[in-house]
Amino acid sequence: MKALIRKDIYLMLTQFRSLFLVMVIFSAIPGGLFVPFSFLYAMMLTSVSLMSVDEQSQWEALALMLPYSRRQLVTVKYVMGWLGIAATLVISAALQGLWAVTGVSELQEGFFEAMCVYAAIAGVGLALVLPVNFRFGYAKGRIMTILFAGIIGGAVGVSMNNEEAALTFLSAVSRVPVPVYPLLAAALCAATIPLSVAGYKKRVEK
Amino acid sequence: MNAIEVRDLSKSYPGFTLSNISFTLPEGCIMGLVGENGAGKSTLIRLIMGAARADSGQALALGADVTAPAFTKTKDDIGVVLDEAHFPTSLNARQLGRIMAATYSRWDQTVYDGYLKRLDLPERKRVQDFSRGMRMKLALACALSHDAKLLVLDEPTGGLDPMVRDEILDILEDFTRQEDRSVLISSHIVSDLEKLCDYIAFLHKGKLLLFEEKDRLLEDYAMARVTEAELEALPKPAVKGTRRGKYGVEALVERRLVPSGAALEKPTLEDIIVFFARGDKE
Repeated sequence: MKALIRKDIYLMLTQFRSLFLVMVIFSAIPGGLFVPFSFLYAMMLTSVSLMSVDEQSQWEALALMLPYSRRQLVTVKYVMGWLGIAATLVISAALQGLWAVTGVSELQEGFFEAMCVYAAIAGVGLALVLPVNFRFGYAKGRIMTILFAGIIGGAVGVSMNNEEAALTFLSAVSRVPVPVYPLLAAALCAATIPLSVAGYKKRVEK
Repeated sequence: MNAIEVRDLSKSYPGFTLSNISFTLPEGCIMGLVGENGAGKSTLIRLIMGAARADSGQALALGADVTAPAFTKTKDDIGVVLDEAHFPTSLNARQLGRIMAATYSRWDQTVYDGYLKRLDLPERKRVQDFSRGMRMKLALACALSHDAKLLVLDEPTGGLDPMVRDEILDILEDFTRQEDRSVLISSHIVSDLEKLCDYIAFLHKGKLLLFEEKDRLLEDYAMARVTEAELEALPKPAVKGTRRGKYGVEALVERRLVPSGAALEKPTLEDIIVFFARGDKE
């Protein structure tokens, strides 16, 4: 697993530097309006986009013959996805906190709770998108990714224009301690790993 | 222990069937897997490495069932080189070395650095800027730097110039100097295999037409240059394949079935392979 994580981190650093910068810019925009997109972007970058690079280089064909189990080959994308989500959480919190301290912009009420919800949504995204990508490959699986991104983007767009709906949503989710949501999303991801492994085996072992 | 054992291995795809393949590669030997493009060489290698599921039959590599979960650990003792390297192209040789160091338990960085130097491979140049020859050499450096007991190579010399091919074959010869090391190498460049191999397996349209020790093949078969009438006089089972030309017929024959005194010539491995394939056609 360590080798696979190392490989994906190298790929991020060599291939996705400019895309990573976009994620940081989304996180840095004062007011935190674009932070949800930052989470979404990080989730897709660290899992689905890495899978597309693997497919393009035909890395899978070699990886299947190296001492990695199918489970490790699948789990690494979940791990990278969560690393991306965690990095976004840290970067967004740090930058928005910095703007609040320096007086650039105010920290919106419930910002950190909202961050936990965004992280959870991105985690749910991983749980939905990865099994499809592992089963059908990146080219077909990206339809699911686009669909998920579209739904979330649309929801964020609606909440930006309808403060009442956004507040109702936040009030509904805050009935449960918000850190629970990312944990639930992580549990959902863990539950879909066997599904991804089965789909992956079906696709690559044929 | 045998390096590879394959028993009645079959796999079907739409329009192609690899059927009932059986052979054994003893430890310390080199086996050449020959066959035209599409004969099933890569499929067979994928099955042997557990990368694809067989419809029936069994494959063991270094004594382990390739479909068992424990085979993942066995792969620590196997070096693999595929026809297209398959490394992520934005990485460089140094980064790949670090990935392989975390992949193989017996990775030897000194050996790897030695290969990079010997093969003139730049450490910091991206794989995407490597030529095909350089990529194959890099794949070989990765496969040889973790004290593998078995090396599996799928068309490592295909599309390479003779200089690079020769360099790769030299390295493989060095690798097999230790007695417990075995190699399975597929290629359609028969002359490369003739230099290197102890055993030859000839795969043709998904069927294993031949599996024999190379020296025995060269002893058992011969070329006969005859007229049509002389060909007719030869015992039918002796003739494995024929080629008709302006000046008569060339035939690959089995020596022991040909009457003594007949004028026979020593064949090359390529003759044997080509005539077996032609015989199948006729």
